[in-house]
Amino acid sequence: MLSNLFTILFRFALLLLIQVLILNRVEVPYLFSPFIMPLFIIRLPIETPRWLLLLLAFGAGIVLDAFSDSMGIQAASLVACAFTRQYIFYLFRPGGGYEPSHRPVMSVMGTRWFVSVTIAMVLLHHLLFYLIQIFSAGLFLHLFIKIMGTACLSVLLILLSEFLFYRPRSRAT
Amino acid sequence: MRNIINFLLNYNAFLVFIGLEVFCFYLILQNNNYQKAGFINSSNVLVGKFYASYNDLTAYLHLKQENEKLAEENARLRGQIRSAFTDPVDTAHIINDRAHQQIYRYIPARVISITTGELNNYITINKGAADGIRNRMAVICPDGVVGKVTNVSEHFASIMSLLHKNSSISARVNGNLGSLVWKGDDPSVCNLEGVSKQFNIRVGDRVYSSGKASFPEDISIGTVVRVNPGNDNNYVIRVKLSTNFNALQYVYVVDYLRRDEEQNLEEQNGNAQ
Repeated sequence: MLSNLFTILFRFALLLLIQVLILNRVEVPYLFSPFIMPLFIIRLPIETPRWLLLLLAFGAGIVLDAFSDSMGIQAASLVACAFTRQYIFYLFRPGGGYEPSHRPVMSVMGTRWFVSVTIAMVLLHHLLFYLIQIFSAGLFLHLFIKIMGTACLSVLLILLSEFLFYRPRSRAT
Repeated sequence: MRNIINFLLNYNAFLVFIGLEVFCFYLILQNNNYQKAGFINSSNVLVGKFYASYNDLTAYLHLKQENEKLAEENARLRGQIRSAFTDPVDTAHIINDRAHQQIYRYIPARVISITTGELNNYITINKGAADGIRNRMAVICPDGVVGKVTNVSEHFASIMSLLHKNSSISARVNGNLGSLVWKGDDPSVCNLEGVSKQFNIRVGDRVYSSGKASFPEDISIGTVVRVNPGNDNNYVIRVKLSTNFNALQYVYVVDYLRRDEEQNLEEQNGNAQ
């Protein structure tokens, strides 16, 4: 349990550094900077109690908010992601349901499962994040297109980042 | 006992969810307010220190360009000081100039963190309340306008960049006032709104700050790149910004020395009405 927690914190720190030192500073032509924090929510163990999942998402969001001046919007959208995770996992459940040996990582659950879950999670996160930001200014169509484009970019990045944590199936993380 | 708590918490995950979301929105609304300085932002001590030390590591990468820029600015300023002009009457005369009083003080600061790819962009600098920086002060750089201070801690400050959904700056083109807003599309282009169609605005016209609201007058903002007829009586003017936010290393925070006086007067006007 303790080593598990350590892994989770380490993964969070790494994703945070990538986000604030690299991704926040690159300017993608025609799009916004991508976010990879949804990967943190996806990678939390399946059997994590829901309240803990929510609290972890909240903590991650608040720290990210402090680093990127987004005032609590990241926390709000990540908590919503954490709340919805169970339903997304249910939607894409494997044939025999989830087993104790299952972990939400690409090497165990397979590429198809991981890609579907990532797309669902990122779309939810990005839509919420940008909708909360612009709900006072009205929704512009060109922003919506940009958000969708940014979501695609984030999906791609998360799939690439998954290989950072890639382990052969036999060894435990 | 622990099982019961776990069970309750699991069962009531929805309540936890609602509670956390309510708290998040409380933070968002509270931080949206100019007057209240929130804690969750890059000017708080921990995040500020982190960005400052990271910036120490990477700053040397840009030293060359930065030196060239400073040298250029020095040269320009040298051309403006009194000794650059000859006085035909008496060069040794001490000029006790009471007609010109200083009304703007410039506080130089180093950018330790900046975003440009977001919908709401912020800049963190390495000076704070201890150096005389206060909320809502204007921020400029040698190339042009940068933004406004939104959060200040003892040694750091966050700046709402011009590239922010809520930023709005009073600007002047050919003597006509308008307000400069960013639409979130292109980080090098802003829209100038509110300039009436009866005036003649052409591509290539220079846009400057108007001198209203904390920005000094005639700070460069950019150049007109397109003039669109808007829906009402005003143009929608596309302005290419002269500030290159990607290469921003040093900024000047503008302390408007008569701000308190002006505010007091406005408050008195408000009370009198």
